[in-house]
Amino acid sequence: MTTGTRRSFIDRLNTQWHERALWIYLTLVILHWIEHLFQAAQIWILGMPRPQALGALGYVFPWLVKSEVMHFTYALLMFIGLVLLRPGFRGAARTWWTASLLIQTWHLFEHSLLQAQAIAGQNLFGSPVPTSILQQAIPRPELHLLYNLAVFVPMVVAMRLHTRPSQAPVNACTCADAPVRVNPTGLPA
Amino acid sequence: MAIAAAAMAVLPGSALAHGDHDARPLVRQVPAGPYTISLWQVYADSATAMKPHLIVMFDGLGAVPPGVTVRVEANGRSLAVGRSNTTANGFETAEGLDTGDVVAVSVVDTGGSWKLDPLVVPPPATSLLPIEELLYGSIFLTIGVAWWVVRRTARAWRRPAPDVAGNVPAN
Repeated sequence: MTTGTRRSFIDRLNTQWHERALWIYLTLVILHWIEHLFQAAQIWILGMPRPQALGALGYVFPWLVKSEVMHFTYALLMFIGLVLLRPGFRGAARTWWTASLLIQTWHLFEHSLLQAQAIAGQNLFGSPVPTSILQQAIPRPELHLLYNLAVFVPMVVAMRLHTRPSQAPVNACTCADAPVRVNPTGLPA
Repeated sequence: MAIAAAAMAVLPGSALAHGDHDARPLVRQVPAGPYTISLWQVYADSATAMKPHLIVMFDGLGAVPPGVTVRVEANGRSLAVGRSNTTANGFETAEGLDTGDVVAVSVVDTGGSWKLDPLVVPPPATSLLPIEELLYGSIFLTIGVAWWVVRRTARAWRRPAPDVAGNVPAN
């Protein structure tokens, strides 16, 4: 690792910027995940027909759900975030983060298949609509709920492990440091 | 969101796919005269369909063969059928089918008429997973994690910013 202003973007992202980058990333992941939960709740709790179960934003912007590009882009962004932020993790936290990355890699592959079919106009398995491999066994809303859950849980476990105070001497970032005590003026006490 | 919007502007219109609903096969690759037919059920991409439509698909063809028409009856009642908006090589009913409906499909062209064996629409596959329990568990987990993220994010922004070398000022 180089020092000072010559450090690379990846170095900075995994040291001095890691904490803030991680929380911004997890916030985006949760917002996307909530959309999937909302859609699932519409189907299985509220009993809405599947074409009407468009999630929260999909109610206002139906093209968000109908567009393969949107789903593909989210999967790609999640994958990129997992790759870029991985070097900042150590020990068991890195193992869990890597598990999340591997599952997301498969999830992205499935979305790439769907995207390729949508662009080419040729669908797999003789289907009239784009379809993916595991969709042959599990319907799509269930499948993508599971994919996102399977990525989300190890990601959260990794972050809990990574931010434990005992990790502070091991980490090269500030994620596990003790909280700053702030006095009423907003300055460190 | 901005990246997705930009990607949509760059990628071709075909990237606007059918949406995230499944098509399920009712019967696949059945001979009907010179044609091979598959029957699929899919929700029309209208967000108003309450029941999935029936698609009569001509397997192995890029488009519906010229001069061919399809007739569909459900429980003895004739259904309106048109070219499918979902796939170029199929016809699609204008209304949906219920579980238990008895469907009869005929393919007609200048050479003759071929009737497929009547078919009872099967119930949708039930998920092997305890999906409601999974969903409620996920909702509670997400609420907990979201609260943790809010507290930790606020903390991260209260912390004095590291300097260029990555050193955090001492408390």
